[in-house]
Amino acid sequence: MRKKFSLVFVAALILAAFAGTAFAKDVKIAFIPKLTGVGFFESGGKGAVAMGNMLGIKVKYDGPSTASVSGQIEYINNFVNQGYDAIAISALSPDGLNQALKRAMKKGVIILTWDSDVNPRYRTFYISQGTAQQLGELLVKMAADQMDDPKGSPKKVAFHYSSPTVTDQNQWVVVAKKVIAEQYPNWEIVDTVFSHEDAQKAVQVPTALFQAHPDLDAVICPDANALPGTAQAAENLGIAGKVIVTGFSTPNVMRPYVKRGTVKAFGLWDVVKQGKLAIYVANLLVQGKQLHVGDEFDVPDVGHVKVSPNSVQGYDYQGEVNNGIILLPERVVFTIDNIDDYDF
Amino acid sequence: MKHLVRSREALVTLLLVLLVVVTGLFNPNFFKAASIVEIFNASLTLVLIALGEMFVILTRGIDVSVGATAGLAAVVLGTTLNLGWPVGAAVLAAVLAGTLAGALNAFGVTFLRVPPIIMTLGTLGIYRGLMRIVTGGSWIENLPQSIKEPNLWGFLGVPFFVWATLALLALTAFVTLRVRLARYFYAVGDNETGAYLLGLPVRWTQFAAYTLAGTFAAFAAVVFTSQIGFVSMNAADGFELKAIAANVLGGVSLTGGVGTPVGAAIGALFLTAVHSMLIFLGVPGIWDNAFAGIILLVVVYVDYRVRSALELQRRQARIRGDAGGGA
Repeated sequence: MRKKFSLVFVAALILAAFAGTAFAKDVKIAFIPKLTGVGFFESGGKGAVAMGNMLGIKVKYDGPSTASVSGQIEYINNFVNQGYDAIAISALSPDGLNQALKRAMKKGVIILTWDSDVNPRYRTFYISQGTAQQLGELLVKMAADQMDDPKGSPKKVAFHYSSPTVTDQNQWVVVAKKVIAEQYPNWEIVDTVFSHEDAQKAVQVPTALFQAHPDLDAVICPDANALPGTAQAAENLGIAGKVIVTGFSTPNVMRPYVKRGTVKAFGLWDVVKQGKLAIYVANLLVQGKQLHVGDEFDVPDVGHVKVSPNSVQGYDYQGEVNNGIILLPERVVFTIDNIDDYDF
Repeated sequence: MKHLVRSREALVTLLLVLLVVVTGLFNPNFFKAASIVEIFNASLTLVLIALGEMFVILTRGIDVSVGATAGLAAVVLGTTLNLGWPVGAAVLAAVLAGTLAGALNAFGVTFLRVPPIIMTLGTLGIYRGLMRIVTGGSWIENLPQSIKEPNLWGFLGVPFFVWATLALLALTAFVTLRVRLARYFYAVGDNETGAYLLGLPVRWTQFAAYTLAGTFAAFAAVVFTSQIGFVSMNAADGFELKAIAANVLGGVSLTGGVGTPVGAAIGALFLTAVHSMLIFLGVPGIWDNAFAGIILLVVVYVDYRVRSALELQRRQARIRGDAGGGA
């Protein structure tokens, strides 16, 4: 009786092992945005799903419908409980997800971040759009490139973005202000204003800004609402084309302003490629690949990428293997000549 | 004079003028007509939503779905425009959608007897959800220029939408003051049972209030879409609370029965103007929300003190009067 039981037990174990391996081949990866319903994130999701189809794995794009940390935690827990192999998330909070991510990692789920990072202890890789240094410099460069004599006569510039608590936008602006102080001492920063992702305020605030400083040369707007809002304000006041409006937003929102010449150049990164890269790396890790700082590889549709240490983003912590930052190979400056090549 | 001090509208207007003068002295650019006009222009969305909300508050109700209703109407407007509908038809569809959304609130509150805060909190979620379902979750972009044009029309340097809103405000003010049916809003809010006993159609009055809130939110959506030119999924997010604050600031009592359209509009103008003025004053953007909150509290507090002082004076006068009469 006892022997029979153990036989059955062994058979069951073997079966389970087989089932296990068969299951492992069915890779499932979740791709979580800060919130659904925003063109930027939806496009990242499209890229992620497209890469999943290309690799023949299952990629699920889903997340909270409002920007809520507890909503993201729910999604993380759900995906973990459903047996997903990896999760790539654009974190709403640098620390608020720690416990949920820790639990996920304990259960063997591979965690990556994209677009917005968490503490590097709680993820493998951060798929980054660029360092704060790169993006801050890009902001200043886009404004300077539109001036006849950027280093000549005195200039007045202002910043307009969502809110002082948004980590990434704040970091870019800090760098941009430093670059201005070092390279363009003739630029005076007259104000920094916020519109809190409220479209109506994103028009009102720059309107007041333009009127309070009629001799403003440029407004730099690294936010998806602030940039079209500022462009709209310039058009309403009839000063479109006379003042430089630049920053970061998505091509679909900015297309009409670029076509009318209100905005001559603005930047972003290709978020579709960012989604693709995140899924590609996640799949490598699920397959058991080990990546070290300094490793380089080619990603179809994205290009040549390299594993950088966490220190490029200013972190102290550095894991030995499968930990670091992978930067998108390039950022994009959109102008009237190339904007129609992008749809997101 | 006493009458002036006694009305909240007057107090808020006084404070607004004071702020305008201070801002203008500090930054003379502010006095240019264009700056003042732009502040009117920026406040239109909130003015319209607050006007709709006023009807509900007058009947002693509350509607926290007006922001979502405006968002939903904006989505209807944007979607139909991008389907190639002419502007007039699209605007009509949006106004109809807002009115229907208001009517659903009205039905729930008056006939199903769901408490207003619960009913409208529920529809707040439903309308925001519908926005995502209709659009598949993306922003509505690339709207035709035809919807933006009215925003560029003007007369005497004042944009068309400002004139239109002023006209609507004047009409609302006239109707609530002079038309018997519109006085029902006050009667129902002041004393629901009393109004019922007098034979007033209490339920239908409440029904009309919530429906009007939806219609006005849709008007706001039209202005919003024309001024901004794209519809994000969080369009008019949080406007329900701003609209309630504007009403309170403008002297519309949350306990019902008291308040005027002009008061609600001035409250909304004030709440919007503060953000622009802080920029002219050179106050760092970080302070923006905190300042707006402080000013709101100061106005309400000063108003309360002035009122209670006047009330005390009145009572004392009466006591003295009574004593004199008896002797």
